[in-house]
Amino acid sequence: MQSTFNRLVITSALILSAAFLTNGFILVLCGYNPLQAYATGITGAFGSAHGLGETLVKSIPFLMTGLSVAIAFRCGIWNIGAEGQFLIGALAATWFGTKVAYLLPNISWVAIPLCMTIAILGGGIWGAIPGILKITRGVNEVISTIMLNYVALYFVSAMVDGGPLQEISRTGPQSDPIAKWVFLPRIFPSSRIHIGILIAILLAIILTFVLFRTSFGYQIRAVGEGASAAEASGISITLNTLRVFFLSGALAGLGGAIELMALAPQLTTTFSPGYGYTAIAVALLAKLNPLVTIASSLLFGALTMGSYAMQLNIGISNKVTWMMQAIILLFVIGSSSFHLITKRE
Amino acid sequence: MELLEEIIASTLRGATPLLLAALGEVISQRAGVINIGIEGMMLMGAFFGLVTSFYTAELMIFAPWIGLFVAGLSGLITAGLFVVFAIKLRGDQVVIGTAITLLALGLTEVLYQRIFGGTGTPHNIPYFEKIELPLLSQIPFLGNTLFSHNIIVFLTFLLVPCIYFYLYHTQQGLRVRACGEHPKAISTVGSNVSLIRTMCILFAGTMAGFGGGYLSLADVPIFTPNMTAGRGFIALAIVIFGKWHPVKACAAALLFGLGFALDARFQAFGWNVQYQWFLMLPFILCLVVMSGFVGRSEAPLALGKPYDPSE
Repeated sequence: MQSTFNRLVITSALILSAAFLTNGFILVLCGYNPLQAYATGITGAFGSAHGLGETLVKSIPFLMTGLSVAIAFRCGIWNIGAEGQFLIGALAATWFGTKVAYLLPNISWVAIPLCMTIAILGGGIWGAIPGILKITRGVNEVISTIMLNYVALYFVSAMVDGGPLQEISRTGPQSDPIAKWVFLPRIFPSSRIHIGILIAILLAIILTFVLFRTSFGYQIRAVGEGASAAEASGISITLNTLRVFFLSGALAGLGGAIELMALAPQLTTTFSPGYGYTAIAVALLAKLNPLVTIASSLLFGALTMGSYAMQLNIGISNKVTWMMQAIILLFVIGSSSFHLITKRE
Repeated sequence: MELLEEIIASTLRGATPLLLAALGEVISQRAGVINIGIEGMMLMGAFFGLVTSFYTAELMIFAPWIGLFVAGLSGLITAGLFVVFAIKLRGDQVVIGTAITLLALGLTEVLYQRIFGGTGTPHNIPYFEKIELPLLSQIPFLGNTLFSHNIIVFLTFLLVPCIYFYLYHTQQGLRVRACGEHPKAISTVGSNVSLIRTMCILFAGTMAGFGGGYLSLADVPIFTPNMTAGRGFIALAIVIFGKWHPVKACAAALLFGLGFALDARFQAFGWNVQYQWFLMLPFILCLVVMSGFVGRSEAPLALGKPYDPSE
């Protein structure tokens, strides 16, 4: 156990150094000074209490979507759809927070769990669609989840930009703020860190337990390691595929709801800067281990925060994080220790 | 009548970039490689194609050609990255494709901001203008619909029979198809599976690059971040809908081209329907088509599986 952990730390450190070097090289080619950029980024992400707090806040959606991807990939399900599921979760929470919440008594401990449940169902059902298509029609989930991401994106846009969820004043492409009693409470008065971080970490711990200590988790891993062998030993592929698609979608959907309920009080057409795609890098860097995903999501939170600082101070587009994420992903693939990818089917 | 002419004409124009990317992807998937990075390769082509035409603007009519060449080249180079990870390191093709698309999204936007800043791309960049084929464009109805386009449209549709012929009537085409069905079998008779797959990926990348170059250089010269907006992924769906066959893929591309054409028309009519539903349409169409028209057994057998020559 100790040595596995050590190896993971060393590989990750190597991957990250290589990724920072490569990214720096590309920045030079683009005409930027990478040392200055990185220094700005690191100061932005860690240099102050505010920066550190924001890094934590920004890591929460990565953790939620990262868990979503990790659990799906563990089962051999190539869910590229966390982005759409995240959006649908946020949309469900918006609907609840702006329409339903006013019909209920304004008690937070009633409204918040209800709102989250709606989002879990929304994300879960959205996630289950490609599962059903795969089981009944043999549709490859890679393509269907990508398509559903675009459908979700435009659906959210249709709802809040000219649709029934647009703000009553109809001025901008956004919803009204959700009811105050659906807001997620913050932990410290001076920072935006909210209880979503506790929920996400708790979920990571629970998922680790489920994955490695329960029969359900065993089935997930067995199906992921080899569907035909699992089936031969009496594990239902159909049932597990469907369950995991739902679970994966539910996690991403809850992530979207948490993000909305804690930070943005309203849903906009640009609500997610691609969390669901980044999640793939988050999960793979963590070797699809839910506990390790906590660490990798922190890293991606820091990258995001750092990229904002870079844009502000040096003028590099903050989309530089996508480049960085892609390079990390490629190095993860390059480090052959990630054996699951070759074991697919 | 005029409306119909316009819809058919814009169907062809909308189908062209999809078809370019899809034709490359047909070859790649037929060889057993699923290349999700096609979206990123298109985006690279779109960006570098336009930038090249921008910097070579004084060469006038040659500028867009150089731009298109560079667009294909950037697709090729991006595909080279895919080759390193998918063939050399035998990584998972889906993950690599996702990474490449992310890389392209990030890189093009960083460079876009560096070069064009907040002002956007200028309007005076040389591009492929509409040409009217002599005589043919005089034919009533057909002239306006089929024979008055920018040159890339014509070239792209001419490619369809070429690719069909290559895949089904040449020795090499047979080898490509065998790579996707039974790589081990073709390997035992002396073909180099890794090499064939590499070539097919590079071809697919080049074609995707051209497709991207078309988006930024044909009819209107413009680049905006993420301007491909999922077209690479739609090309993937076209390959599936077209049952991995170039001619059927051409039909599928036309169908999606029609989708885009109707989008634009409906919006112009000012119908009281939200524009987002039309943007969503091609993706819904993809889902419907995939679940309704394609059986389980149609895909190349070894699609998406890394090939290990030592096994």
